[in-house]
Formats: sequence, structure tokens, C-alpha cells
Amino acid sequence: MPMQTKLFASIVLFGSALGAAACSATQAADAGSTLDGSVADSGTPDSPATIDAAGHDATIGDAKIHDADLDGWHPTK
Amino acid sequence: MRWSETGRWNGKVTSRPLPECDPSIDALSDDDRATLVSVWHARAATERRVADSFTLVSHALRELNAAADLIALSDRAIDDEHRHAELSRYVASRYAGKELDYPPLLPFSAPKHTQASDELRHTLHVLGQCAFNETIASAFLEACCEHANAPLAKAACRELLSDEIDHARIGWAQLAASPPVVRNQIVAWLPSLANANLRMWRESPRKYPSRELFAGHGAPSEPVIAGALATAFRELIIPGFEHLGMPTGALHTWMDAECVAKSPVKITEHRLQ
Ligand SMILES: [Fe+2]
Ligand SMILES: [Fe+2]
Repeated sequence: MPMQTKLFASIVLFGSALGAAACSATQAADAGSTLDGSVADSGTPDSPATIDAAGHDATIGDAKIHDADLDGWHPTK
Repeated sequence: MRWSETGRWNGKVTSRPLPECDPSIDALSDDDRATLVSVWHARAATERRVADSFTLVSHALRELNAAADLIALSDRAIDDEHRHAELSRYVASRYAGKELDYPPLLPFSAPKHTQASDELRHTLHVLGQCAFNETIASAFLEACCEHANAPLAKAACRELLSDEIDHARIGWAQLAASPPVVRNQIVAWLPSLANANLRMWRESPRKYPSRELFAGHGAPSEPVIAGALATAFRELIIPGFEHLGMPTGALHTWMDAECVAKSPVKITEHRLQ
């Protein structure tokens, strides 16, 4: 993992701590220790991913996914 | 286009007053000035569109019974984006030397995510706008700030960045508050969200040449933008999901392919199983 930057701390660390603090006691119990990475052990393996030579298909585990239904959404800045 | 008296800066557009005179603008040639007018005017249009996107995010957070603080922050983000549109219009006007109108509204349509359940779709809407688009915007604006030296443009970029960081946090906060079952469902969607967002940023029209002069006025060069996009994924987004314990193998593969292909991977078929 690359060195954690100030922006990473400001966005991801602060944001996820905010979420962990904000969720209710019940949600917190469901979510486990959200800041210690426990979700990684909760049943989904890191699925093998391939992208074909022409770069036209992405396969994540058994699933092929696409971004077509994101068409029309162009927020940017 | 209105922003609220009860918004982040109590009705003011910025946290601090913007520089009233900027000799670096006066020193520009007419052509360069016109280019920068179009850059900042175009920014006003996209900022305005993001306000519409945050209406969707606020709705999604309510449907998800998200924490009140997060909903409030997202509601504020709608207002923030209206302020950003005004700030960008104002900066464009300063370069133009006259008061400009708002640019025409850009169309916005919510991502359909047809294969997702209602609940998952709401979460994907929050992530797409906040964890992806706003995080990328933060990296982009950080690069803008770094290269900007014109007083007005630098101040404007700093103001925008300070809000976009807050907006990005909403995505990471909601993700951290989501139960493992939801986070597991999201994993399969990450490459498509990443790909779509990268494509949007790359395809966003930037009709100006890569010149240090323009970078100094808040319009960074193509290589700088490409670097900011790479930074966003490599140093923020992917490590962000890893921080929350989510598998990112597929994202790394996608990212590595991106670096070789230099154009977004076109992913074609959708069969989530
Ligand atoms: Fe914005
Ligand atoms: Fe924003």
C-alpha cells in the first residue's frame, strides 16, 4: 500500500471514523469493528479478476460487469 | 440558482473574501483571458450538475436510514455545489471583465444500476458520487491548488477543495456504517464504478492547451490531470476500500490495465451472479 497522504487521512480516515461513530449501536454491532478490517474475513474472497487482451471485458470471479447503466451520469467538476 | 443563508458560510459564497484585485488577470492577452473564461464558466456548469446529483445522494441516504449527521452533510452539499457554481461563474466573470450569466444547465440522470436491489442501488448512488467522484475531485483540486499562482484562481480552488473533501467523506462514512453484507455486495460493482468515473473525468471537455500559464490560473495541464486521476485511485480510493477491509484485487487489475491502455477499459456485459 502506498504511503498514506494527508488527503487520504482527511477523506478516508476521517470519513470512515465519522461513519463508524455515526452508526447506531445496533448497526455498529452488525458492522463489527469497521476500522480494523474485519470485513475482509466475512466470507467474500478476493475474487480473481481478468481483463481481456483487447481490454473489452472485465470478469470479476464468475461475474461479468459493465458500466453501461451508468450512461448519462456525468457529474465531474 | 440560489444558495442558502443557512449554508456552510451563512449565505456567503466563500469562507474568506476573495482577492479583489488580481494583476495576473490584467496581464493576460485577450485570447488567454477568453480561454480562462470558458474554463471557469464550464466549471460552473458541472458544479451545478453535481448539486442535482447530491439531491439524489440525500434521497438515497434517507432511504438507507443513514445517520442524521450524514444526511445533514449531504443536504449541505447540495447548497455547497450551488455556491461552487456561483463561485465559478464569478471567477469566469472576473476573467471576462464583465458579469456573466450562468451557463445552460447540463443534463443529469441517475445511474440506473438495474441489476441492483433498491437498497444496493441507493448505496451505489452514495458511493458513486461521494467515494468516487468527490474523492477524485479532491485529488484534482489539490493538483489545481499546487499549480495555481494567480491569487483569485488559487483562492477559488482552495475554497472548492475544502468543500469537496467534506463531500467525499460522506461516501466513506456511509460505507463504514454499512453492514458487512452490504459491503460484500458492493465489491463486484467497484470496477464498473471506477471505470465509469474515470471515463467521466477523462471525457469531461477541457478545451484548452496544456500550458503553465493556464495551470497558474486553475486550469492544469493534461499530464497533471492524468496524474491527479492516478493519485485518486492509487492513493485514495483503492487504499480506502482496503482500509475498510474490502477486497480490491479486481480494482488493482483494472488500474494496472488502465495504466497500460491509457483509456478506460470498456466493460461490456453484465451478469452479476
Ligand atoms: Fe463542487
Ligand atoms: Fe462536491
